[in-house]
Amino acid sequence: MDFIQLKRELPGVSPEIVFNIFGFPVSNTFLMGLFIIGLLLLFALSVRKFSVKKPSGFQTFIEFLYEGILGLLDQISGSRKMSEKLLPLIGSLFVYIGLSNLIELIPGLSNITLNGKQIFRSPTTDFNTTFGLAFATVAIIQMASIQSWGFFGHVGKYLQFRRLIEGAKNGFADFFMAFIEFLIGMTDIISDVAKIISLSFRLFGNIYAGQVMAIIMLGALAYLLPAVWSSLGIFFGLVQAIVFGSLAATYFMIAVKPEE
Amino acid sequence: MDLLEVFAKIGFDWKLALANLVNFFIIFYILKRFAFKPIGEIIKARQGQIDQGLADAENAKNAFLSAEKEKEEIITLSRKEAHEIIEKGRKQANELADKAAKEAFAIKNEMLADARKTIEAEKKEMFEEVKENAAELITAGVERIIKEELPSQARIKIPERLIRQKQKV
Repeated sequence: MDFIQLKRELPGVSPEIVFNIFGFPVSNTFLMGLFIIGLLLLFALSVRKFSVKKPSGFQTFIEFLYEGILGLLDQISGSRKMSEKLLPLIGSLFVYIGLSNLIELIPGLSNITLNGKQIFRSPTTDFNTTFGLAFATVAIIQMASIQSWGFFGHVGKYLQFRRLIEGAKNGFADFFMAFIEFLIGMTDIISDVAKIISLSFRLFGNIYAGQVMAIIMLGALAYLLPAVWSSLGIFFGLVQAIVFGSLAATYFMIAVKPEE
Repeated sequence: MDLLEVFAKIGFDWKLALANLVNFFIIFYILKRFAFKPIGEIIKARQGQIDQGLADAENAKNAFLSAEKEKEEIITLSRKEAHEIIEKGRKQANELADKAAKEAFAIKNEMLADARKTIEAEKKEMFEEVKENAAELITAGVERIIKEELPSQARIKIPERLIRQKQKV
């Protein structure tokens, strides 16, 4: 019987394709992502029962997290209004990455297999997920920038032709400065593309390496380290979620107009 | 080794990346629409209630302090008014007493004056009466003495002497 078995070998860098739907691969990390969506849907249903006057313990915990994320964003944005604008994106990243990193700590969940293939694997150990997250984050930031500066204002941040023309009118020295600024604008395009690479590789590298390390350490010292390593796993999982969210919030603040 | 080769080595598949991208947008929508928004509204509503409660408490405190101040002012004013009334009453009482004393004194003087007048009048009347009666008595006595004791010659000389004396007076 190979439906349920314990998996002991090191996870591969690539996710396992559990099955295909119309030629579209469905990986174990994607299935875990769907599982997380299901959990969040249940959570969304429970939010409808939240009360203004008599909050339950669970509600208090959720509100504590909500205020905690807002407080963190306040430190980055400097204003509560901006933090509330940032919250849906950063909060979603924090919740998704946090849950993805921590959900594998549920005993047995990652050991469920189908036809010898692991069904559930932490989404953040898959580069496709971290790349998707980073791409979505940068895309949302670009949209926010267009909304803030206007389309031509946004494009003008990268291609500073107007500054180049003004510099040419004001003499060689100013033209030289304008040319340097033009080059800086061009490098900003590379910088924004690099953000996707940087965010996705940082998260993937940390979580995947952490998982490999956990398996190696637990294999070597199975009776001594599980509690310590699990505790560190929770801590590092949350830290990575905070790092990703904080970086995204910083990029967002750089992209939009300062007065906003 | 270029970037695409590195991507391929770590299992990058644009279909899976796209699926995960969509996955995240679904999560983003669910959390934004059904979690962050209602939680934010609940917290704001509660904060509004707390602020309202604090404002009400502040108002109640101010109203209490205002009432206390007003009470103190009323008590002070009442004390002042009572003091003024007492002073005024005392003054009026003194004035009334003075007036009454003066009136009594005036009445007493008037009565004394009347009594004196009456006494004087009665005294005068009494004197007049006594004077009248005394003259008659003296005359009657003299007439009797004259008739009984004096000789007839002497009876004639005495009236004449009296008439002369009277004329001298």
